[in-house]
Amino acid sequence: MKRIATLLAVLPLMPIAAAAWAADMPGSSDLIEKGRQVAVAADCAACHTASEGRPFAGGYPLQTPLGTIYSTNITPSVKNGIGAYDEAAFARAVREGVKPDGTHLYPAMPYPAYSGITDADLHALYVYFKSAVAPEDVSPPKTDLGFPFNIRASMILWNMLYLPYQRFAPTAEETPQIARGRYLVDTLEHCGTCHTPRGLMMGPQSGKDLGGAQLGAWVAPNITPDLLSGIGTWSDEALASYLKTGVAAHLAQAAGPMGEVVEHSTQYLPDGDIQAMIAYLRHVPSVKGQAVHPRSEYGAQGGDEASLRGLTSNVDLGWKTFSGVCATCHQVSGQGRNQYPALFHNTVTGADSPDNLVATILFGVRRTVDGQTHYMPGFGDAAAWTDQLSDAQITAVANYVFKQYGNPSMHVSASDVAKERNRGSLASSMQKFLSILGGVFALVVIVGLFALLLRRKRA
Amino acid sequence: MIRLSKSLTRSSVMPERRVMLGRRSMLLGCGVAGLLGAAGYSSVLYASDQTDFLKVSSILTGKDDLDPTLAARYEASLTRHQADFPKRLNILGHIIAQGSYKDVESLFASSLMPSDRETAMSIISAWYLGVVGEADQAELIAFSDALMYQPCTDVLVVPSYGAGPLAWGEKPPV
Amino acid sequence: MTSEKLHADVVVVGSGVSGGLVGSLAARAGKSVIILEAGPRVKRHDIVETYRNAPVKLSLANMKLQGAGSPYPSMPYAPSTYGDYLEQLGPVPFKTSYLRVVGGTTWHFGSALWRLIPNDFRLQTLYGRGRDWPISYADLEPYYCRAEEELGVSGVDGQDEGGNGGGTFPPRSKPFPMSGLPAPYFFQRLPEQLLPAGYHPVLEPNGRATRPYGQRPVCAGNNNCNPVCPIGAKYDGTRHVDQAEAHGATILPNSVVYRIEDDASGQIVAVWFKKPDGTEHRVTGKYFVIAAHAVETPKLLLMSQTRHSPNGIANSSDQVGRNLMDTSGISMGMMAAEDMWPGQGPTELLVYLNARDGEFRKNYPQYKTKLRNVVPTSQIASGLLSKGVVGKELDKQIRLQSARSIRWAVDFEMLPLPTNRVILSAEKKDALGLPVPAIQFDIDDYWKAGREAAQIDLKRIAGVLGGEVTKFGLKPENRQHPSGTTIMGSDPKNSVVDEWCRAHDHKNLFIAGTSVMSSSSCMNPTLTAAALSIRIADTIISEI
Repeated sequence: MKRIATLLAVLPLMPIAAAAWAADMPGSSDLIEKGRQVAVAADCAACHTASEGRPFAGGYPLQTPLGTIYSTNITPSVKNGIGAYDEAAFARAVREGVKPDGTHLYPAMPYPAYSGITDADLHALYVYFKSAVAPEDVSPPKTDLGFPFNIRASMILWNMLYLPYQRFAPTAEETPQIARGRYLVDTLEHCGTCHTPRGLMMGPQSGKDLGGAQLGAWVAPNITPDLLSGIGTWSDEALASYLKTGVAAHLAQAAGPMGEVVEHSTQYLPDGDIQAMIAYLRHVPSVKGQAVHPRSEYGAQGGDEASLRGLTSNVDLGWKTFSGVCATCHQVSGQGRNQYPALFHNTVTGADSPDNLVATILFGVRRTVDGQTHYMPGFGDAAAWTDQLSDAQITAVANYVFKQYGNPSMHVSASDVAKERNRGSLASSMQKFLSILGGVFALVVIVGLFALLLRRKRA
Repeated sequence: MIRLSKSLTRSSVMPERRVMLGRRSMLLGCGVAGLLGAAGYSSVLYASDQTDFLKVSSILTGKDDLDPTLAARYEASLTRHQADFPKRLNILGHIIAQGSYKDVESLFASSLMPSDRETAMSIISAWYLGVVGEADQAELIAFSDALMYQPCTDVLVVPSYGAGPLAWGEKPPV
Repeated sequence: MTSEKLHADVVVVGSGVSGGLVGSLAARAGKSVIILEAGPRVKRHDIVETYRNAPVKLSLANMKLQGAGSPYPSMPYAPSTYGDYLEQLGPVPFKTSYLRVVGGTTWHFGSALWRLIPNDFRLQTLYGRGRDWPISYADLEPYYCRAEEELGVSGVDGQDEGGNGGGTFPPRSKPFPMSGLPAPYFFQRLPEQLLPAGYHPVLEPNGRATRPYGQRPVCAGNNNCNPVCPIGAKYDGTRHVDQAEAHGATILPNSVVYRIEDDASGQIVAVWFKKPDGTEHRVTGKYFVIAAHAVETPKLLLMSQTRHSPNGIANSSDQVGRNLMDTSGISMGMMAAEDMWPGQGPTELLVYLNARDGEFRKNYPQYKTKLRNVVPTSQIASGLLSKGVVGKELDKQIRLQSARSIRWAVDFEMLPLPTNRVILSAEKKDALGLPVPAIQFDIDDYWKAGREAAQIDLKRIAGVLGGEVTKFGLKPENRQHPSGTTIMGSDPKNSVVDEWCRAHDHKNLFIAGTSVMSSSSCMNPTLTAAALSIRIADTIISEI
């Protein structure tokens, strides 16, 4: 919530701040504005702004089972930030995840995607941070993970395998719009970081680009043009509305990490960029998934209100929970009303994975767009005591909702819910990082075993 | 389709089967409604329908889209509260069929016996309030589905089912 | 008695807004806290479904049915006040209904969160009526601000709550934490018509969120504030109970405190409570806060007749249980001349305060004139059906009457009369063998004079609106705002607590809630109780 408030406070002020700092700093205001736009498109503030009134000062705590990771200060503070970085050092940190002193950043920083940032954009970004962002002389708490995750050098190995070291450049085959879309989707917005499934070493799986992936408690769905598993059936208007507002009426609403993306980044993109992203997403190769029916086209209005209302004993727990908890807003027949979405024709209930429904019930939705916060309280451990639901209740209601309004082949068990409960206690934006960290861990283990084997052979 | 409804009505008197029946009758009910829709709804009650609670209810309430599930539950509940309700329904249905009354207004304009008027009112009251019986004996069958809410749904919510965050303030339609 | 040792820095009896606030603030300050609650801890969705399933629905729209049903549990060990729990000694029945569950009565309050105005604290000095408070508005103002933040009050900045159409009044050092709710059409149209006649509309400050506030979502106009907000947009005491618990406090539901134990030095040593199975337990502590509601608090004090306090704890003045006040009022039903559509949005909001303050208070009480904003459908439909209205006319009338039935209510200030009191029932006992509260209550000439004035006012309003008066309710209607039963004052001989809400008789005993109020005013008392509770917490935290 803090971050939301900060962003609200900061974003409208940015042009003013830019003007104030531009006076005695290098760089034209056009360049600064361009840099600001790059920073928004690359969603820097989401992780680097922790406290109100201190944009980009870092210190945003990401709770992980391995310890707390704090984002860095990227204001031009010489002591604590990037004030002493020259442009080459800045570029290396952004594109390769390496600080001037040689320290490797954890890939919570999506530098594999950012490695594609063009020289011109990187220059603008540098000028923006150096001249339009106020220096904050605060040092974020030190990140100190336990062994083996504290061996930051292990990232070298991973980088060798998966870091492209390649700048974006339009190709001859693509239109300028698609090229721009590719740059936004693959590089700045780093969509693949979440939406592309990972292999054993947590490198992106080849041929599965944007094909959908697990993110802790949430699922980042397939966003390729596949008609069944992807977004092939969505209209341009629906996709644009989703990216601009977080809502595509009668289709989908952004929650979890995607809610953050809309909140911090895509809502601010110019319409041309939104159209470019859509054009590119229509153009990427389809990835076939498990779905047998588009996730946005399941279910219909209806329910058991007429048959069960007034009965006080032996009432199905799924309906009872639905009625007492969900129907108040989503209405008795699941049809929704005004800001409250319908539960049918909804990608959450029609998905071919139960995770996003369970995660929504557990953690709720909170997304601020255009100054207005859309908020659905969760019913998990963080909820008020009186609103907390048990695993049995969530299991029953999720299964009821799938059967009544969504993909009827979905089924969750109480242990699935318990698992989601634990997964989701991590900060949502942390999930992408954790998966990569898992890969690093796997690498460390493999290299370690390899070394051990070698030594034994020698012996 | 009429026979179908009757069989529902009979079995629905058994309270322990109500829940199961609810779902089934709804499915069947949808079929009935579909057929009615296809054939063009007629508000005429034939002699053979005189014990058909749903059809009698339609004439008494002037609504052709009553929920068959609720009909079965109201009928069962009215019977629980009034053992002779099936008989009363039969008599009222007979009067309606005989007089070819197409709506409650013409029925009530006729020289209806007080007990038949009472039966009609108990049915109308159940549908409108969603409640059968009085005081300690009162039994709730419907809440948001009670017909009384229908005339104002464009302006007022059924309490506890909100219209959404700060979703009011416009001048309501006339 | 069990061998389990229960001890805390701060022992709080009652888990409503007052007890919850003290417990939460003390726990947040690192003190150990135990909060005891007579009733059970309940889930919101259970209450909501019980409400929806109930054939008789309690609502502000059917006041005469108050007592007929409540979706909250009535336990043998903590019987619901909706039944016949309270013994009415008359002559005027005091039909207050409070909730004995974790979170307390705010579960079903309309969530009006008003401040008193400065002159409310000086009734005796200015108007020769009632009592003065030993503190002033200025003393309480910072606490009002904090209470508004704690409870999450939404309100319209710049309103004259003195009712004169001027600027911000009473004076406030901070704006409302949340902007006000949008006014439904009803509250736009009606003031248009009344303003030329000198009636200045005031939109009620209230506990409904207009932006996500902590875990509370934004008010969705469920129009169900009483008996339960189905989404928790409205503040209730469970918020602070949760906070207290998150900071280490122990919550003990189903624990009925029945005795307070003191020692020869006047210190409170322990409280005793019974579990539903009848077992007796003792809790010791450094400080004790009784926050059990204006009826239950004096009951508990009176039940606690000890060797050192033979008249009951904190009762050397014999004032415990006396000075029972309410804001009992009258009502008027009216058919408007045009469609107004009450019932959109939450249940209450618009009031008129033309009689908030002035020389008239020498002769008749301050009063508040308010509009009910409740979906009236079920009352209208039952009424029409009982008259035999059917068919198209029934639907037409439901719509017409829903759009035009206006329900006015007036709340009066009442004076603290020693003869209006809560005592222990001589005969009736609950399942634990504890005496139920018995209430002796009457109205005085001051109140009756107010009724005359308000009636003239209501008729004038109906005239200005061109509406047809359908009904006057002139018998005193209880407004569920009991206060005064452990009255605050500077003289230990005629008051129970001092200006800090500390019992005159016991240095480590505080009383939180509306029972300490020296005057009732005509306003809903919750915010004042909350402000005083924060002040109690500050005092206790500074002394431990």
